[in-house]
This record gives sequence, C-alpha cells and structure tokens, in this order.
Amino acid sequence: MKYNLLIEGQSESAMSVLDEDLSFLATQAALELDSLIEGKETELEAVSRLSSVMSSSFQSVQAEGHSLSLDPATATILNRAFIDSNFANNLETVDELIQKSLELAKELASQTHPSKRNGELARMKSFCMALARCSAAYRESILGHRSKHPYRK
Amino acid sequence: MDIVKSSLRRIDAAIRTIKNLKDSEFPYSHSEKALLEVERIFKETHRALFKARDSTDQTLKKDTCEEALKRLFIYIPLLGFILRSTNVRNAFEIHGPLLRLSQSLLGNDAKLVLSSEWDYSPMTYPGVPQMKSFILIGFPATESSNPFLIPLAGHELGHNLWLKHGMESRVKVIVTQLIQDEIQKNRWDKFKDLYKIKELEQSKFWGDLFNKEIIGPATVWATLQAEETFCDLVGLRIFGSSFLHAFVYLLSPGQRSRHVAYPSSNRRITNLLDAARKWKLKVPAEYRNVFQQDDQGRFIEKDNFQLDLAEFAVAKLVPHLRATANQLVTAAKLKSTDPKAVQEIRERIGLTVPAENAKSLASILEAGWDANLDETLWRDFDHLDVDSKYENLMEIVLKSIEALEIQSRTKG
Repeated sequence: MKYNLLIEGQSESAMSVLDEDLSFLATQAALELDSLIEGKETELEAVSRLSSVMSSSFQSVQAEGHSLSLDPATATILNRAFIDSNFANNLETVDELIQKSLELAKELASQTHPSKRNGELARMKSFCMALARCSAAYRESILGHRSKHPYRK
Repeated sequence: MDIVKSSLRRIDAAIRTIKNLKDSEFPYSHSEKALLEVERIFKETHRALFKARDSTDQTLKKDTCEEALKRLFIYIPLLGFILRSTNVRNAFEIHGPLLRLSQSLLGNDAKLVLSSEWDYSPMTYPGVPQMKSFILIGFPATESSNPFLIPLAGHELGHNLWLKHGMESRVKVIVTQLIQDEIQKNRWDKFKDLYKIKELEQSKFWGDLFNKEIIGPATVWATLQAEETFCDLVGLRIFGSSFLHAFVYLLSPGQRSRHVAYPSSNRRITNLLDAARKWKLKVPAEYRNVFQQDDQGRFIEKDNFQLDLAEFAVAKLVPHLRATANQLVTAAKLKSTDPKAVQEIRERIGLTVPAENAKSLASILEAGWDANLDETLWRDFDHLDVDSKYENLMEIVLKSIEALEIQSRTKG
C-alpha cells in the first residue's frame, strides 16, 4: 500500500497529546470561562483556539468516514476528560466520542453569546480543566521521563 | 499560603533575568529574538496568573500555577541555551551556511540558534509553544566547535520539517490502522489473552472505546519512532555519507538499553544503510558492526507486545518516510554533495589550505570527513605536529565553511 504522508493543507493545528502545550491551552480556556462565570469582561482567545483544535482534529476524521482510525491516545484523553468532568460518562464507541467532541467544540466556539447560563459555562470549564490534567497524565504514563525537557529531541 | 503570589514572583524573577540577559553580546540577531520571544511568553504567563488570582475557584488557581511552573521548567533551560549561544566556544562560522540551508528547507521566516549543551547528545527543541519558527540546535559543549558533527544538525532539522508539515497527524492515523489490522490478522489470540478481551464482532471491534484505548502506547511509540526515523533519513539525504560518519562518531557503540520513543540502533542503522544504497551514497566499511545489539525487549509482557506492534508499524512506514524525506529535501533545491567539488576540496585540504569556491556545505563536510578518515593525511609534511593534526584539520574545514559563507554573501 502507498501512503502519502504529506497531505495538502495538513497543518500542525490538530490535537496532539504529545504536545505539552495542550494542557496550558486547556487551562487558559478554563480561566477565560471562569472569568465569564464571574461576570467579567474577557477575551476568549484560548477558548476559541481550543475549539478550533478540536474541530480540525475530528471534522476530517468524520468527513472521511475513517472514525475507526482515530488514534487511541486522542480517544483516551478525551474520553477520560469527558468522564472526569461529568460531561459525558457513558460514551462507548469512537463515533459517539467524535460526535460529542464536535458538539463541544461548537459549544466552545459559541461562548461569546451572552445567553449562556453559568451552569453550561461551568460544565465547559470543568471539561477544560479535566482535559489539561488528563493530557499531562497520559503523556507521563506512556512516555515516562523521556527526557529532562518535554520539547527536547 | 498564597501560591498565586509565589507563582507571580517566580515569573517576575524570570522576566528580570531576561532583562539582564538582554545585555549580552549576541553574535547574530536570532539569539536575541529568541530571548524576546521567551520574555513575551513569560509575560503571557504572568497575565494568566493575574486572572487566576481573581478567581474564587481554588482548583483552577492551583492548575494555573502548575502550568506556570511547567513553563518555568520548559523555558528556563531555553534561557541557558540562548545564553550559551553567545559563548565563543561555538563555531559561529557555521551559523550562516546552516541558516541558509534551514531557510531553504523550512521557509524564510526560519530562525536558527546554535548553542552548546552540557549534555552529551545533539539535540533540538522543536515545536516549543509559540516559538515554532525557531530552530534551536545544540551540540555537546565538548564538541560545539567540531565541524565534523554538523551533519547531525540534519537530523535535528528533520524534527522541524516533521512539525512544519504536520506529519504527526497523518502518521498517527496510518500507524493506528496498521496496528489494528495486524492484531486482527496475525496477533488476535495473543491480544485476547493478554488483555482478557471478550469476543466482539470484528467489524465493530475498533469502534469500541475500551478496545481502542488498549493500543494507545503502541501508536504513540510508533508515531515517535517514525519521527526519529524520518529525521535520520532527512539528515542522510542532506549531508550524504558525512551524516553516517558523524552518527558513528558521536553515538557508537551505543548502549544496550533503549527508549521506546526511539527505534533500536540496529533498526536505525538498517534504515540508514538501505537509504544510502537507494540514494547511491558511499557507505563506510563495517558500518553495522560498530553498534551494540539493543534489540532486547522490555521486561513486562504487555510492553513487549505493544513495542513489537509499534516496530511492526514503523517498519511498514520506512519506505514512505524515506520517499517523503527525499521529496522534501529535493523540493528545497539544496546544494548537495557533488563528487567533483568534493574532490577539489579534498585536494585543497591535502595541501593544508582551506577550500575556495566550494559549492556547498555538504561537499566541504564530505571532503573533510574523507580527510579525517585518511590515515596517510599530511604524513609527508614533516613541519606539521602529528598531535595537532585533528585540530588543524578541523580548523581548515571551518575556514572552508567561512570562505563559503563570504562567497555566498558577496554573491547574494
């Protein structure tokens, strides 16, 4: 079989559980949502970036009908984050996970709407915090102390 | 105890340190630009901590402080790296030629910082958040003025190419498919036995989240090993046989133990030799035999199973990684080694003088390595001190590189 490893338009924007920055991004998004809950004016830059990372990771998988090829590491941390934040704790299939992730990405993208209730915002914030923790813990459990510095190769 | 206050003070201290570092004498502007980027990142972290300070959510406060602490772990070593890039022990001559090469491969916004490390390994920091246009390459401090190691920078540039082309997202999908298929076709019984799997309709098996999660380690390790393999191939494709020599010089005979993120030494050598043959490069004699056998497995059966699967997937990908390395390096139109140019440079080195009009960095390094491995080099030059032959040779190679840089600047 011939594999093309360079796909037009492929970028580094997809979610990578190997990237330490994912947990920082998720924490920043949680902070922004927290400010919204507190009724403070805030820019939602991290929320928007996280939403876009999640969308770009799953839209292509879903569009190509390749849900079975979703990488297990991404599936694992998202599922754990959904469970830990009580956002969704009964997902059984990869298709359900992708669907839920895309719904969440859409919800995150619409956070600027003032109509959002604090309960919904709190649920999203809780997911972002869980995502930060799960991605860091997963990396550590799979790679151990790979090197002294997370970006050192 | 106010942990946000402590976190803010730690970040303030980092920002103050950067302010002092700005007074350093930078040999080229990219070191200074890298420093300014790190400063900007710490200021951003400072703002996040300010936001957390006002929050009533204690857990979120702690999480934010944890992320700020992680940023100190990530960026403080980078400050040391940037500071050491100003040290005169580095071979500043190589910055210009290597930058030109990097920009051909990665685009004109690529910025290069070369430094020395107090760790015995060439290394790079690819994909550091918000510093993705920077190529940060470090050589062991003891070797940082050794031009014979420059080819290993080719491997490090491979990491930046991998990142630039978003190859991880494509590769992880392919390795997932390969591993899933392999389990179902050839390793089903073992898999079922190891993980106590209940029978499930085959077509639905990998759609089940529980089953999917099991093969996480194999796919992550395969993705990382594929990246390292790709980087070796990029280094070889750019620098030809001098990459093979530099690899042996720095790493042989290797160690028996290995990390799951890297292919075994044997696998790496096999991949390099296969590619060298394919690309018609000169392969040093007895190359394979200088490395230790490090194919030993892990001590936990499940880890062994996952590692075998990872290696299986990477082996399937090697021809595609080789083709991609070739495609990207070819597209960059780099001046690669040219036998006639190598011969001319080699003759100049034989006369103990730097090369003029060298066509490329790769040609200088190949000629340099050829001279380095020649036991008869300068044997008849009685006036030369035998004990400083190696140092003299390094100096001539560096001067040749400097001449190439002057030539490029005056032409361009």
